[in-house]
Amino acid sequence: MLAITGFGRRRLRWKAVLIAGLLVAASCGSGDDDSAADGDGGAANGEAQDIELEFWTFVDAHTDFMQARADEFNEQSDEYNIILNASSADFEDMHDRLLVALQSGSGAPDIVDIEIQRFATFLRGDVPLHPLTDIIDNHRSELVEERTAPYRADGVEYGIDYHLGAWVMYYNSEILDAAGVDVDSIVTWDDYIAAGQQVVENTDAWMASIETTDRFSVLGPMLQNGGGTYDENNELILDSPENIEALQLISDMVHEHEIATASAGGQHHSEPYYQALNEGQYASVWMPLWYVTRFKDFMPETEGKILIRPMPEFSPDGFISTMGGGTGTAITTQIEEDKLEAAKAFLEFAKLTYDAQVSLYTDLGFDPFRNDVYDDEALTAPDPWFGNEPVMTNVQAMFDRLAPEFTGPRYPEAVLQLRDVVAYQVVEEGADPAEALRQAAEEIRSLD
Amino acid sequence: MATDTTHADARSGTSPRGRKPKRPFLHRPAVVAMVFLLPFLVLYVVFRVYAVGYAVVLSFQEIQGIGSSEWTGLDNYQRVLTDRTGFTALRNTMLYTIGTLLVLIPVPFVLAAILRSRWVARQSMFRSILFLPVLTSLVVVGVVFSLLLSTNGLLNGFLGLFGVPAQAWLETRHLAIPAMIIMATWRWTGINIIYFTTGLSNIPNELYESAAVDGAGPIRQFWHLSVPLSKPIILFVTVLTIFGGFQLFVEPLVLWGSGGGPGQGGLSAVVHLYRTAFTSFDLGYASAIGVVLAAIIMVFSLIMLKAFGFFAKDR
Amino acid sequence: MTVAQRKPLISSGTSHRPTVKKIAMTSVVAVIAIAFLIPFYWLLVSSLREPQRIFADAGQFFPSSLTLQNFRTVFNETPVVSWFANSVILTVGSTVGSLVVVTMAAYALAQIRFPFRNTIFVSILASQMLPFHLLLIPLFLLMIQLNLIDTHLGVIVPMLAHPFGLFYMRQYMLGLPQAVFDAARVDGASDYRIFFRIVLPMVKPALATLAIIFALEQWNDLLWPLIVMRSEGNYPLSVGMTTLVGLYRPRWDLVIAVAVIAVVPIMLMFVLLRKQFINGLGQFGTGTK
Repeated sequence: MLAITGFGRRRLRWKAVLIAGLLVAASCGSGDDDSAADGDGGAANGEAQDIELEFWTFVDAHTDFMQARADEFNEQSDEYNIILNASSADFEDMHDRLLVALQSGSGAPDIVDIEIQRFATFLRGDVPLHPLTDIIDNHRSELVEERTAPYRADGVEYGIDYHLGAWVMYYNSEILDAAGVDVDSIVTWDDYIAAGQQVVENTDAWMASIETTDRFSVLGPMLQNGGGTYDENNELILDSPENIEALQLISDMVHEHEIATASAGGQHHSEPYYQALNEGQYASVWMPLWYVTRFKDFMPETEGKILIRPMPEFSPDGFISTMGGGTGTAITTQIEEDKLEAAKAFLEFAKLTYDAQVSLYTDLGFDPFRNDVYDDEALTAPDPWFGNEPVMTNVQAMFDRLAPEFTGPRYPEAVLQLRDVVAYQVVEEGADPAEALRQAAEEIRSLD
Repeated sequence: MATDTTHADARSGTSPRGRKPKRPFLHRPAVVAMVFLLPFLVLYVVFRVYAVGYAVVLSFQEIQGIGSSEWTGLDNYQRVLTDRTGFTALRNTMLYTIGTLLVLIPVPFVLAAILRSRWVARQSMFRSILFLPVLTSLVVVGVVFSLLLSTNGLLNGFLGLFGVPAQAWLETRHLAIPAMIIMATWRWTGINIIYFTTGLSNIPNELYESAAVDGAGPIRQFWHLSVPLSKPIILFVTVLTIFGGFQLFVEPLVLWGSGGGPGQGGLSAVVHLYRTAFTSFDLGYASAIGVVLAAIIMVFSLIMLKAFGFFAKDR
Repeated sequence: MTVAQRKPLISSGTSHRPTVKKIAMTSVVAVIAIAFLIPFYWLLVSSLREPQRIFADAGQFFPSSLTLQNFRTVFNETPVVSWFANSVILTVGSTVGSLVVVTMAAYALAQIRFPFRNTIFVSILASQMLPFHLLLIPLFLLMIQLNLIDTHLGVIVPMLAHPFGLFYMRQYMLGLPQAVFDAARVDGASDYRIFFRIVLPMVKPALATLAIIFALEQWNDLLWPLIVMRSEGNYPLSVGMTTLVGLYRPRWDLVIAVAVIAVVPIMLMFVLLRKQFINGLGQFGTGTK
């Protein structure tokens, strides 16, 4: 017995060493022929040079949008012929895949959409993205300046958005009529609360829904009041007086005036909420402008009934809107150098030019962030779904009272605090807004 | 583990192996073992050991953004001890794990036994139906359950029949874990039934026959034959459930988007790790969380293995 | 080899007993089964609703109008057929591969005495306890080195050594009657012969179970194939489906239709192969060759 065991053990060790050696050899050997993923983008024979660009997004509609822009680009460019390999994955998955590829130093796309909640993650340390300041400079005078702020670090811009995301109030005119409220009489948040009391008294609906597991309901008024997560100096301002005031307002609507309630499903993007809003359980909701697509996609009964207005103001001449959500399209540093110029030219064409910005509205239903396109006839047309009003023209009217959103290094974590903790504590557990915000800020400061 | 030694002891007594030391090379026990183990071990060493080692090394570093790292010794592990969110996540995860253990072991086991008895017609059809949920993509399951569990959803309607007031399952902090256990029960019951069925079918019929002759009723047979004789498979499913419980990740994500849930009531340890790694890009600290979590799972699993081992000795 | 006969378990003497019990028990199980089917019912009905009405009518248990529009859109707008084919390739490849690797290793760990076998086993299990997310970056680096990015092999190979499959098979093999092996050894049979002639037939039920488990895991796996596969045409269904859940414009109409497409063929397979499936699984000792 013993003899055999001893013998076996020796054998095993010897084998193990051999195997380990073989493995090392094998992995080294295969590492050598590390052939580049894709060959040079075709020979430039005479005319436009073929440029293959890999593009990742987490919004399926963006692949169609960018493909259409690539086709237009190729028609007018005699220098480059863009071949776009677009692929989409869902939000988390795409960002995870991107981070893995960037950290590994290989396998990242050339162009990529990065959502505002994740953008700051990529701006830490050595930024793996190419500066885009020069192409933005070409159009800066026409752009809504505030929209370039979230993708900027140390004065350098790394991403270009798809929309302004102006924050608006969506009113259900049918419910307001039943309650005897004139929508245009609502100017201040006090007016809004008074109207809400009328709605609650005279109808079965609530005036407003508040998200308890997402951030939009709390972040909107906070930003509108001049607060938010960060100020322009990269300082965390989660517990600022402006934020406390805004959150107190929301808390009062729920607990004191009892005109607002936690939204069905806890989120304005949840399926039970679509159902409830469609059935007319809420007279209004504040969300960014891109939420219009949700009405059209999932809430057929709201057709013609929804009116879009600015947010009620906190103070006379104060902000009446801000910006929500966002996606920065960026160029990664893993792009081959000879493709960089073409990619930048394409990105500028696809996101910043007049025609591209018109397409943001016509193709995607988003509000553009270039001032001069709002007079285009495509944008001035009335929208039957939304009270047959010229929605985009009304959005443009808010531009001079638009609160900016700044992001900072811990923006992702700050947003998570708002959506996981603060909103729930204040709405469902009646926590003191100031205390809830103070704790959240403390939690984030403790990360560094 | 105890079963293991029993077999080994029995073998060394009766096996003819010890008396024939001069076997051909390929038939020596250690060589035979290596031949059988080799494919697994090669794949395992190349893909697992390397990756796990890489993660463990990272746990001693601080990583600030892409491409930068710094050795910080045990700092990350110290930080684990003061991580408030981490403790919330760990508590949620443990509650979920205990909950799934309490439901997903006994229920499928009893169902597996019933589905093998002659009291139930169309057994294979039922087994297939109970098995279906696990085939469904979790992305869609999240949508379906957010509707089923909504305040005026089907589950509340059903509970209302028994006078239970409607619950906001997905919007209440202390109901987040129960909601996920409900979802897990729907999803995993069928799979565990299959594990247990295989285990039960390993029990020779003669034992049941002689028990019946001795006058043992079905319930006695269940307790005194089916349960003890299924021990190896119950042990396996238990360890698997502990492991699965601690790895809770996709469920909170598909139910609440961010994975935190109402007031962080759904936040799991792996979601916390994931956020640390992929949202904060704090890979070093995330790795430390992972190592600590692995140690906790291992301790739990070993306790289970031990507990079952003692159980065997008593018999 | 002698193994017990095929016969239903529990209370062999009850065949003549009243059928009341049978009806009652069957009803209980049927109620549970119906409860389990409700989410599928919703899924199926929703896939047949107009896109706009999926959530608007979510409360309607019996739909008023149905359409195949979503399925038409899926087939026109997405490479769902390729996705399906990829899912099948990945699932078959990884299931067969894992079964071979795991069964061999389990035999060594369960039936052969050699040094460190418990140490090896426990450390294999322990390595599985680390959350997979932490392994993504090193594994991805390996895939680049091995040139396996965007290949089916890249998805399959790293996952073949399946610790829990090994655990399960080892447990199962420990439960096999020891006398059979001893007898074979006395007869002078080598381990290789024992493995092929005795062990494999005896572990058939375990193989069937593991085949199902492995197949399911691969069929549902999202994270790893997503990291490895790059071109849309190489995606399996699980990954393909997530491409439709856009953040600003989710296409639930398509997601739900794809989900149905992913489940229905397997359901049909179950119905058609139910006998074989249950035989491999339920009855002890089907294999006596």
